[in-house]
Amino acid sequence: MIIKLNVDPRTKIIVFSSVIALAFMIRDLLVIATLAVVTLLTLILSSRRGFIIRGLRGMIPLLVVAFLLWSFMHEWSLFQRYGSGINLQLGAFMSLRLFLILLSSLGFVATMGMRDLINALNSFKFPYKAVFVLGLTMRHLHTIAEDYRAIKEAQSSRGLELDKGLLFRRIRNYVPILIPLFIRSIENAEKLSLAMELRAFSLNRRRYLRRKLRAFDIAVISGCAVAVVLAALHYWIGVI
Amino acid sequence: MEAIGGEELRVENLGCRYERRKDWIFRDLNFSVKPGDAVAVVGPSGSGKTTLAYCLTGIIPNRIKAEVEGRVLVDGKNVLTSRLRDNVKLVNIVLQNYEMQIFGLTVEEDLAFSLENLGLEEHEIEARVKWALEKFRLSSYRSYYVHELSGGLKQRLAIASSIIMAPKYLVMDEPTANLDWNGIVELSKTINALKMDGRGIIIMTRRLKGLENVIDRVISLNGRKVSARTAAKLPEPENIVDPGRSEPVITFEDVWFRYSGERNYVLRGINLKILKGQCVALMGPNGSGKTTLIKHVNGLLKPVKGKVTILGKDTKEYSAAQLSRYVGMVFQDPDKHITCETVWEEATFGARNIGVSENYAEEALKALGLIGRKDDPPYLLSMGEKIRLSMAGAIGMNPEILILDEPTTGQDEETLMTISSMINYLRSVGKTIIIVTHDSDFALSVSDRLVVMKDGAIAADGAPKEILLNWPIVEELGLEPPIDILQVVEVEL
Repeated sequence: MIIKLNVDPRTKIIVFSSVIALAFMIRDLLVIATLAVVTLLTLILSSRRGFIIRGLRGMIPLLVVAFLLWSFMHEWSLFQRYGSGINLQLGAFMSLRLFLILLSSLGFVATMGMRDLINALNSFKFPYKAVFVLGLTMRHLHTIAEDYRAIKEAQSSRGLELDKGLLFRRIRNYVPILIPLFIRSIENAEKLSLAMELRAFSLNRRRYLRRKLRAFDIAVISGCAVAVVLAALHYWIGVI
Repeated sequence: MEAIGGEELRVENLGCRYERRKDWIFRDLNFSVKPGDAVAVVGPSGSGKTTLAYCLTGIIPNRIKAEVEGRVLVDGKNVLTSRLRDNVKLVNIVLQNYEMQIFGLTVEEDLAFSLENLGLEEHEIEARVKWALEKFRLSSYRSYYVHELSGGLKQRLAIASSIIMAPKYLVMDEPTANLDWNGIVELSKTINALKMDGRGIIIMTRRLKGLENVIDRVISLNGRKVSARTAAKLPEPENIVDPGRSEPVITFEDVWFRYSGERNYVLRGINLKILKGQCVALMGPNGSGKTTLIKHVNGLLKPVKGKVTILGKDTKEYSAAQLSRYVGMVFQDPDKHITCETVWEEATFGARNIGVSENYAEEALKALGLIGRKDDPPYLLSMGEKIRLSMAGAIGMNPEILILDEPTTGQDEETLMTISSMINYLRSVGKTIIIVTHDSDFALSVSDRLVVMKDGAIAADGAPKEILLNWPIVEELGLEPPIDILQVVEVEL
């Protein structure tokens, strides 16, 4: 079963930031376990299930090492003191915290397109120059990658052995690839600035995020805000 | 600003030469384009088509410094004396490298980009984007990422993004250079739609094939004469090897290939034998698997299933660099791999890498008319000369098999003749040649076998005349029909 919620990119950024904040605030094993399970279920039901599952497989060794280290070797921690002896509960808590941070980051990368990120940054009033350059870089990353591949193929076809010899020799082998790539990138930058002028580019341009926040997004954002505030009151201030 | 004349783009006594250059690129040019007209400016490479395109839009002298005389009046305003920012609303341009003109991550964003720059209101932007998506048949691609589009669709988007700013005239620089036949047919429909919409169109092109029906007038730029030192002198071919009696040098046995992480196969069960001394033209629409197939010949790609054998060697056991002793590749864009400081060093780069005598490269440079320029930096060469240098570099490695990837794209007649002569010469000394091309006239003139690919499989394999002169087959396979005579009226300047 796949659930398509079509969540607004701004909501995604807020949810991601809230989960990371909660991961550092929460002190109870059960609460962090509940949050990890809810996050996992949400991502498993998303359309990027395959990507998430592949990512989870890669996390397993890291989590096992974290569990063992925190359970048996926490005495040598540089940051905290948790007494001495074996502490399996601490191991479980710390590996769950790591799991939650990795999982939410994985979910963010999996569900956040570059277009979404740029639109969201724009709407959060990030400096436009920085956001525009980020967008332009992302747009031309494919061009540069394509150029790199084409140059590498052309030079290999002319007998250039790239992975031959010692480290220094191998680095030197890449010079005939980097020189044309560098020249091409400068030429492309020149053409790009002309193309920008042809599209009447101005940094004072009007920009519109052609999407309003829906009731669902507002509910999710409100929920996140409430959770973070409650966690802060409970764990930091001790009011609740 | 001057305001003379009625609604038209009028070129009056236009001349242009670049700074510190003695020769004029063109001079005393006079013509006009009315709204709803499509005019083609044809001429060989180096004749000044791009320079003229830049003058018509005001890129020269606004962005590129050059000495300009005469006037370019668009609805009475001289674009040569106006700011580029103001000109783009009157006359815009789709550059040859149109990918650079695309700024949005998605189709919709790119269409909105110019309108946001112009500071239009949101509802106006919405309306214009909707109009452009429908007008240019891009509605189904609205949310597509730009890098997911084919070359033809990207070009259509670049045209739409220029037109959305509502210029009355649009200049296109070599719009057909990277398109297959279907792409050219689609382009002609787009041009027709623009004409119906009352836009004036000026197309800079080397060849008009496929656009004859939408072009109203042709203007010919003759350009400067080619200097004697660049003209190629090739030996006459003798004793061409009869492929009928020779051994296969390239064998594909049930080859399947897909790129890593992709579900769909790009090559599907290819079986092919190419004999020593054959000259095989490889044709097919963009995305049919031609480039993937030739990359299997020189070992850049290895089959997922099946086997590719080159001169008895299984390509899976050799790297591309090792196979370069046997397979030479001339890539489409020579600028992508020119890396050395002189023509000589560039021509001998491959030979030095594999330890072959530099004599072959020297002979190739002589045959291709570049030996007189061996100490020049490669960037000073014209595009035709760079292609010849690229050929000399590949031939200089003395390979048994030579692959030419789209050698005719954007080339003038002189370079095409040189390439044809070189191919005939190489066949006469027993080399095997594969040419990837969309140009059916060129395929007919040089090849003795034609392999047509479609959807990753071989759709036709036989004598070029039997396939290319059979109209139903040409139409079904989406090939460019071989037509030599264009029904156009030439206006000599």
